[in-house]
Amino acid sequence: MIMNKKLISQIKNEWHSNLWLIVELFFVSVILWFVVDYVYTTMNTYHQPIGFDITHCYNIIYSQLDPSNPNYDPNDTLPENDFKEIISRLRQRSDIEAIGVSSASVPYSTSYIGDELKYDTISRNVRTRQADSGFIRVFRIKGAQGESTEQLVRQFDKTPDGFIVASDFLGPNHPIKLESLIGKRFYFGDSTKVDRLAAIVGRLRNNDYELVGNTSSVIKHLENGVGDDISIRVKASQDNDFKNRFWIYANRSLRVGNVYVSDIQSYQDMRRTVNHPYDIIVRDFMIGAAFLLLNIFLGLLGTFWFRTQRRKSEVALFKALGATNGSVFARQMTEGLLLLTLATIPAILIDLNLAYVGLNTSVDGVTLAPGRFIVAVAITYVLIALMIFFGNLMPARKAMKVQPAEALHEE
Amino acid sequence: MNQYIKRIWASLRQDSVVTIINILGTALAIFLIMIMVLMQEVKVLPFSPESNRDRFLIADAFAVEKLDKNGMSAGGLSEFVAKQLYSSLKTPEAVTLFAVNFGTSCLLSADNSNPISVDQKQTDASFWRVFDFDFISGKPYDQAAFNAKQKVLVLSEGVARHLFHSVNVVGRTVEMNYTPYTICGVVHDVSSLASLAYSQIWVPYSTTNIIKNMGGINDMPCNGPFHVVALARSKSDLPKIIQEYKKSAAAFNSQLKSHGMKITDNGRPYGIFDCSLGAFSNQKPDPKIFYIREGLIFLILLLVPAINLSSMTQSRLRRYITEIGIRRAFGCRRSRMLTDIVTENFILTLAAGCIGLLFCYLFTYFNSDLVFANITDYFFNSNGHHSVNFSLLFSPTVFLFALLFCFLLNLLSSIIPAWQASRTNIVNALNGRTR
Repeated sequence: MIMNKKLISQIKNEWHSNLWLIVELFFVSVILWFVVDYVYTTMNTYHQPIGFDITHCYNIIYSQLDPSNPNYDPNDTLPENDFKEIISRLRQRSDIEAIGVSSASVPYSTSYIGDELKYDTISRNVRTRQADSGFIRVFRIKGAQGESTEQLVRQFDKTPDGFIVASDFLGPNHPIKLESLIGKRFYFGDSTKVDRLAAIVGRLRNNDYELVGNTSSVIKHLENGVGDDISIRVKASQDNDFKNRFWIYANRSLRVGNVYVSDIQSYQDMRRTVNHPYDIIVRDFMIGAAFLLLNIFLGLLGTFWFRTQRRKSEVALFKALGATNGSVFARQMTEGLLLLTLATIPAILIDLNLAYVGLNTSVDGVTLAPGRFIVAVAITYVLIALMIFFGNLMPARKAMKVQPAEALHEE
Repeated sequence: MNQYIKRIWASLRQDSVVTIINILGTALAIFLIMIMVLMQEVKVLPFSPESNRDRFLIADAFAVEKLDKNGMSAGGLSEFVAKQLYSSLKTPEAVTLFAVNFGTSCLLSADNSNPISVDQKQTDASFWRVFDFDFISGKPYDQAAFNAKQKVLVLSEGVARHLFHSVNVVGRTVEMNYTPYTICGVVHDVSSLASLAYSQIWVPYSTTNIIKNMGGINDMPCNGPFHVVALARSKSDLPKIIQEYKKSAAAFNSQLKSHGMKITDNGRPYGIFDCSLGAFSNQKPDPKIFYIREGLIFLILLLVPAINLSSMTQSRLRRYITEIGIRRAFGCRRSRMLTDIVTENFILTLAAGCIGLLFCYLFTYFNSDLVFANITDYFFNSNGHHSVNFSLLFSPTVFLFALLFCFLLNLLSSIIPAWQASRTNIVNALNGRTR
């Protein structure tokens, strides 16, 4: 305690150069808090399940021959039959575990169909995923109450006018229990056709960065069995070099009439594509944070280097009175941390204000939540403290090397 | 000048650690700032095949609205609209229409080999006048070939090597989506940083059924896959072309009125800078937001190192306080003192800035995919191919920016310490006291 008192008066005596440090620490603390808050909330979202299991899953893309193509068959007027033939050929392959056909439904895609779903006085905008039950099987979608994929498939198949809704449909803290609406009649948009709620699945997100609390999803029966996307799940034991093997097969055997398979993509690749823009933003924020931290490191190194030079005799006296190398280092470190604490107090006030007016990252419209705020402030403090530690190492080593006798002799 | 350098040398020898930290801090700031500058500059600076960027007017989208506000459709242009609005313009040197086939793969095979997916762009013949491609062999398709719907295509060196293990393939046949095409030319691989011209193969759009896939309201084929680039004869022609376009848009609008529709172009066509801001098809790019955002980032990138350097400069100046006292005692003016300190610091900043810029060049050259990573990269079959050539990096604009930021950083970091040092009381200074 006495040492700290001494330290405080020392900081006061050197307020001039300390002011620079405090101003810098203050600035960096505020900016770094903003970055930490962003990265923390984003990573939190990123690690939530998206509701789809995409391991060993592939997306098969098909096209139709151009009428100017010499192979074009003008008599082939029913491409949907060609499509169904392709699906049935796929079903014969022993290395494919499940096949799903869907439109605007698959994860990590950019196509989107929106709709309004109404029940009684409740009305919500939803993302409509039109799919067959194979789709549920391919992505191993699970029920909200822990129902297995097969149970879901059975529930979906036995209600032809039924649809599945995701558990976040009503939004948080709604008085009505979603489970109590199973079997009830809903309406899509202005349609007069009744649809019945068949089952509830866990939350479905389109990509790893999509905010929890975005538009909820609905899975509806696909009309006439033709969709934009063919998704397959390959047996885990067969999933090596599958893409190449499949491609050779597809080129030979998956051209029916004017319809042909034009590409196969693994969902892992699609995931990378869709995540990429967000990855870049996170990366840029991290680079910014690293830059700020490096500056703290350099600034502290420079300032403390000067100090140890000027305090040579002080340190010598300190050591002559029995201080160990450890206590010399601890003293310098405490000085740095005290400065950081002094800078952090006003920084927290600014952080609070920024979060209060909502200038930082919004999660479900919330920018200021106690837990998250404390975590972000703490991470910021620890990161800067680490830089102070590293910035201190060299000057402190120099101070530790001071030979009391020599330094005091010069004096 | 000599005197400044001597002094810097002396301080480097006396306080090597602090001077090195000082240089490192400055170099780091300039390094990061210049990378940010380059990230924006590659979007606007000219390089082949987009050497005429400053003479481009780009229409990448437009919207049609129903007059009763009951519907809107936004996106690329249909061939019909593109021709109505742009092909009739007299002032430009050339106008090109090309269709962007984003993320849809096109299959290419040769000699019945297993097909590969490549990026494809469907263009008209003027495309080759607007963009200056570097042909290794053969030549582009011309208007006659386009009109005759000749199935010919141009491919990139990389694709040619992949399919034929050679670039001398003009006249040979490939199958594009199972339709045979004759190769008429091979070009050097195009960096995806040239986003307008980039592709792996280019085909005349008259040979495919692309113009049949149109969307619009009331059966008017308004939106489609086309983008338009008009090439002006000179930069001064740009406003003239916009005026002329406005007339043709007004004429088109009066034609549309009978259908109960009007077009909203959100200020398109844009010059290359507005286009680089990347607005959605139904939005206007807002340079103000861009400047505020960039300004804020640059401010942070300058301010934090500046505070850092200020503190170190001040500590450094304390050592010279007696010298400052002597100079002042012999009649040196405060303003002279101030400019001397700032100039000395500027030379140091400039030296550090050069190091920063050099590292920025090296880093960018060897890690161009990392630096210029774009949100659309993985939509391309090539996963984005961001090569940059050195001529672009060494453009005068980049140097000017580097100089400007060095100057700003120097000013920010030395003005306060220099001001304080020059105002020190002479007697105190001679005694080595800072107050």
